[in-house]
Amino acid sequence: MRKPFYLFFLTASTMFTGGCALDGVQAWERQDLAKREMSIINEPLEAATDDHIYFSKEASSGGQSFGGGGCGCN
Amino acid sequence: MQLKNKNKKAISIALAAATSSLLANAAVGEENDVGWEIDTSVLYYGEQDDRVEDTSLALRIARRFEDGRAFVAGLSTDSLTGASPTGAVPLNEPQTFTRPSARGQYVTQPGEIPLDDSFKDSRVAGYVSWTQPFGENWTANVGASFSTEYDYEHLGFNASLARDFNNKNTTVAAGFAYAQDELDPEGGAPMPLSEMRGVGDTSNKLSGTQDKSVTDLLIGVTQILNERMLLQVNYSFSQSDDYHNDPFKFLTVLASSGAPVVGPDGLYSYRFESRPDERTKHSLFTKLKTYIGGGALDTSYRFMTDDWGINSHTLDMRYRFNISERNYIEPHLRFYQQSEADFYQANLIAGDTVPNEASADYRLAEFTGTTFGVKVGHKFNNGNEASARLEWYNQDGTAKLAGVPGGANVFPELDAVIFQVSYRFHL
Repeated sequence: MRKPFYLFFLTASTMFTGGCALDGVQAWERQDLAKREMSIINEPLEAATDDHIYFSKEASSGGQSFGGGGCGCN
Repeated sequence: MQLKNKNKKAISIALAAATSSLLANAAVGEENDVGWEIDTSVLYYGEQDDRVEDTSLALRIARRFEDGRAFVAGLSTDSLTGASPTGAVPLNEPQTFTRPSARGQYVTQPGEIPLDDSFKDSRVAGYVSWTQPFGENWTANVGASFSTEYDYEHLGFNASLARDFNNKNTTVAAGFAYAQDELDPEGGAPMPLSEMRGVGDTSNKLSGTQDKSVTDLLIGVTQILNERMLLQVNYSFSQSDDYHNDPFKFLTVLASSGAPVVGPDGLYSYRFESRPDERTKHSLFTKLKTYIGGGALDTSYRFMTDDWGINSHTLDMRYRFNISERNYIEPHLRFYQQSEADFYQANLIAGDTVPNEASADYRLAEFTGTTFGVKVGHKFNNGNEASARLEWYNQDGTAKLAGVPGGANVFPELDAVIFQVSYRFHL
């Protein structure tokens, strides 16, 4: 049960303590990152569809965004 | 007619449009106003052997203003039909079941997986969200969601806050969501672990509606690693309270010989499931996006653990390969594995003490889910985009009969097809 917390805070703290090394990419160097397909959720309708399907068929949901409430009875 | 629920993911959709976009767009500084962006899609989801079918229409409208403010709203409809495994086990003889409404019966033939074929529902869901930057590095987001169907209502709201650090190479976001769901199945929800009764007998039904509340918390970090690589790490916590049962699922009571046992009103003995009245989940989600070989590689992994005893692993990979400036192809692979819930059991044994909690819903069993798919897309001169994807989803797992000779595996293997056509345009 504790493992996810540990991993998360380890990752987060590593990022912040190494802050200087994390600001190296300037705005004008982001032409690839700025492409639509490089955004975290580049196809929101498709992502919502997948969430919808897998929430109904599996015992897990959420993680990337909030898991919704609901019955998921089928 | 029995009407059932699918899921109520509106809140999740809203937050996908909220927290994640805060994380992503702040990081890459994408703040050009390109007018209204309209996404539309048609989805067909179909399972084998006349099991569940869903046809869904979805619309999403979004506008990102130059100052970073953004408006997103969406609406979707689902039309669901088909049959869904009830949790009862196949027998060597016909089985008669009373519909959950207690207004009729259906028969499952020998050797067949019991499926309730009266599943039919329509669903409408919507969400809206507003993003507001303030100060130099802060962004706030608020949203609301709803869904409604014949016997289920969902209402939720959410809020999140994000801050950029390190020359906008790092974004930290935290969010909160609350949802209230209300279930009102036709004929009333069955009393947990009560035996199935005959037509017209509602003595085992609860009165009134059944409620559930869900509180979600999420904290995440998105980090630009280099000019072509982006990493997101999220921790999320979810607490849900009150009614968690699926009112349409039940367990077969077997004698220790494996034979069915006679229950009330000439039926075999089946007991409605009983789940805990609360659930706490923890998820760790990581996503790495890499621009490589002229395309975007999207890799994510999620670990989920809950106090029902379920642990799951989800690995998802897709690669958008740009065949030309206008056309792309995107293969997709998803692998999911979960352990069974502590209270999952494929059947009950007559004469044994009835446990406080039990469910034979195969979605709480140990299983593996595999998805293969491919998507193709085309960008038009005017910036509009059309795409289509075809995917195949399989579930196979372990649901062994307990306390009877042989211990056969009765997991209802699933094969499903997902076909979605999408079109994006601007106004």
